[in-house]
Amino acid sequence: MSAPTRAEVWSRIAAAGIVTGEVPPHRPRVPWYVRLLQGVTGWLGALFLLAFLGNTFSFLFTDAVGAFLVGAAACVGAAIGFRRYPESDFAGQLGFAVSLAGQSLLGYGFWQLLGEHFGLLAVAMVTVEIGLFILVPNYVHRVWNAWAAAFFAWHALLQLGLGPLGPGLLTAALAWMWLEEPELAHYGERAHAAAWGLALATLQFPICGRRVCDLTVLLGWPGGDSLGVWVEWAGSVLLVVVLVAVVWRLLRREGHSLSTRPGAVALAGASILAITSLKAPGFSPAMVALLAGFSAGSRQLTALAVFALVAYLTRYYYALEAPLLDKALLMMITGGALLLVALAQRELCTCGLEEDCG
Amino acid sequence: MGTRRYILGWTEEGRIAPQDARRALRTAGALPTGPQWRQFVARFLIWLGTALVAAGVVLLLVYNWQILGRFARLAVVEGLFAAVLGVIGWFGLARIEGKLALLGAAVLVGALLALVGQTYPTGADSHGLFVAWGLALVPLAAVGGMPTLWLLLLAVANGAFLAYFRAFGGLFGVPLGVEGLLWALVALNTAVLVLWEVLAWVGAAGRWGPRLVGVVSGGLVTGLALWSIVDPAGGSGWGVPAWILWLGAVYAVYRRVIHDVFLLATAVSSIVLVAATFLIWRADIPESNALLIVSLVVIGVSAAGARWLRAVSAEEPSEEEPQ
Repeated sequence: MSAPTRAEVWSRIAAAGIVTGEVPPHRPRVPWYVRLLQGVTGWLGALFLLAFLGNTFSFLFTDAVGAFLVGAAACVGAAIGFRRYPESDFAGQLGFAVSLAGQSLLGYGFWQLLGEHFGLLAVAMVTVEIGLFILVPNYVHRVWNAWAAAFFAWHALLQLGLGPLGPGLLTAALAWMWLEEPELAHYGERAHAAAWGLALATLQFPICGRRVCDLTVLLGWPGGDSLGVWVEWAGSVLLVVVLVAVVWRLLRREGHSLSTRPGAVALAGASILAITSLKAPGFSPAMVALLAGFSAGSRQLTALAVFALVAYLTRYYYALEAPLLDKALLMMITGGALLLVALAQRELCTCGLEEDCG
Repeated sequence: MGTRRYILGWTEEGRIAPQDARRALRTAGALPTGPQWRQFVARFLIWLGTALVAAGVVLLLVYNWQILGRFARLAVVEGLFAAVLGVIGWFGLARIEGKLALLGAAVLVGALLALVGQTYPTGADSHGLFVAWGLALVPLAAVGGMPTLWLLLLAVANGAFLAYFRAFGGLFGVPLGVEGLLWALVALNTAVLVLWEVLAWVGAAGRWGPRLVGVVSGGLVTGLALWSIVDPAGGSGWGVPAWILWLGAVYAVYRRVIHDVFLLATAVSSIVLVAATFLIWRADIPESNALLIVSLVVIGVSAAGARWLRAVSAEEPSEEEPQ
C-alpha cells in the first residue's frame, strides 16, 4: 500500500475537525543523508581550516587569549553569516566549518586558561554550545550543538564524580524529547535538532562504551574523584527506572493499566531487561531509544537504536572485564526469559490483531 | 512515509494547535496502533531472546571448548543446525521465526564448515571454506528470498576473493597488487549491484539492499581513484577514469532511470573526497595556501552537492522526506 499524499493526509485530519481550509503549499524537506553529508564534510572543511590557521598563525596554539579571541570571533562571524544568509548553501556550509573551527579554538583557549580545572572547561563549553544552539538558525549546526552540550555536560558530571549518572540522565532526556515530540513540534527545527543531538549523545554509550567517549581518558587529562560505588549503582538504578517509566508511560498512553494482559506482559519484559541492564548497562539506553523511535514512528531512530543494541551486544560479547561464564549465563537466562514472555504474550493475547486485547 | 513529517511541519507552521498534534498524528495513521504495538513487541522479544540465547550458548561452548572432544564439538554445532532446521519446519518460511531460523542456519553452515576444516585439516586454503560456504548459501538464499541472505552471500564472496588473494597474491594465476584486488572487488560488487537493480526493475521490492551494495561498490571505486592519485607511478592509471565512468553511470541510472537520492549523495561524498585528495597530493599549490584552498574546495563542493541533492529530492517529496 502506497503512502498517503499530502492532500489525503490533510483531508483526513480536516474531516476530524483538526484543521480547516485548503492544503498548505508544499515545503520541501532535506533528507537525513544529505544532512549527514553536510555534517561530515563540514567537519572535514573545519579540520583543514584549523590546520591552515595552525600553520599560518602558529601563535594561536601557543597563546590562550589569542585562541580564545579568534575562536569567539569565528563563532560570532559564523552566527551572523547563518542569520544573514539563511537560504545560502555555501554560506551555511562555510559557516558550519568556520563555527566548528571556532569552537575548537575556544575549547583550546579554555583549556589553556583554566589549566587542570576540566570541570569548569566542560561547563564553559556547555554554555557556548547552548548559546550557539539558540543563536544559529541551522539544523545541522543545532544537532551538533545539542550533541556537544550533552557531551560536555556529562564531562562536567564526571569531574564532580557523578559520571555514572550521565547515561541515565541523557536517556531520560532522550525519552522525554521523543515521547513528547508532537507536543514539542511547534518549536520546529529546534526541537527536532535537539532530539537528534540527544539521541546521538545517548546512543554513543552503548555503541562505543563509556571509556571511549571520555575525553579525560582519551587525552590523559585528570579525571574527577569517584564518590564511591554507590554512584555506579545509582547510575544503573537510574537506567532501570527510566526504562520501566518509559514502558509505563507508553502503556498509559495506549490506554492500558498494569493490571491488563498487555500491561503485565510489557512490564514483565521491561523488568527482565531492566534487571539485565544492572549488569549490562548498555541495554537500557538502546531499549529506550528503540521504544521511543517506534512510538514516534521514526524509522531512523528505530534503526539507530537497533544498531546500538547490536553494537552493544557485540561489545559485551568481547568485553574482558566480565568472566566468560557470567556473560554466557546472563545472556542465556535473559534470552530464555524474554522468549517465555513472548510465549506468554501469544497465549494471553489470543484475540485477533484487529481487536484490542485489554 | 511522509505523513509524520507533514503533520509535524504543519504544527510547526501553526496550522495545527500543539495540543491537537498527537490526535492529528493518530487520525492520519502516523503513530503505531495497538495491533502494531503487539506485533512489534512480539517480534522484538523473539529476535532479542533468540539472539541472546544463541550468543550465550556460543559463549558457554567457548568456555568449555578445550574439554570437548572432536565428536562432541561436531555434535554441538550439528545439533544447533538441526534445531534451527526444526524451527524452520515448525514455523515455515512465511513467518518471521522461520526467516530468523533460516538466517541462523546460513551462519551455522559456515561455522560447521570451519569446524570440519579445523577438526580434519586437509591442507586446503581458507578461500576454499568461503567458496564452499557461498555455494551452500545459494539454495538457502534462493529459498528464503531475503535480501539479508543475498547480502551475506555477497559478503562471503568478497571474503573468498580476499582469502584467495592473501594466499596466492593474485587471482586465477594472474599476479595482482592491491590495486588489482580493488579492481576485482569493484567488478564483483558492481556486477551484483547491476543484477540487483535489474531484478528490482522487474518487481523485487525494497531499496536498502541495492543501496548497501551501491555504497560498497562506490567506496571501492573511490578507493581505486584515491590509489591512482596517491601512487600514480605504481598503479595502472585507470583508477580515475573508472571513477569518472562510475560517476556518470550513477548519475544516468539514479537520476534519470531510478530516482534514488541516497546513492546520488554517495557519489557527491565520493567527489568531495577525491577532490580533496587530488588537491593535497597532485595540485601544484603553494604550501602556505594549500590547506585553506582544500578547505574551501571541500566546503564549496559539498555545498553545491547538497544544494543539487535537495533540488532532486524535492521532485519526489513523499519518498525522500526524513522521518
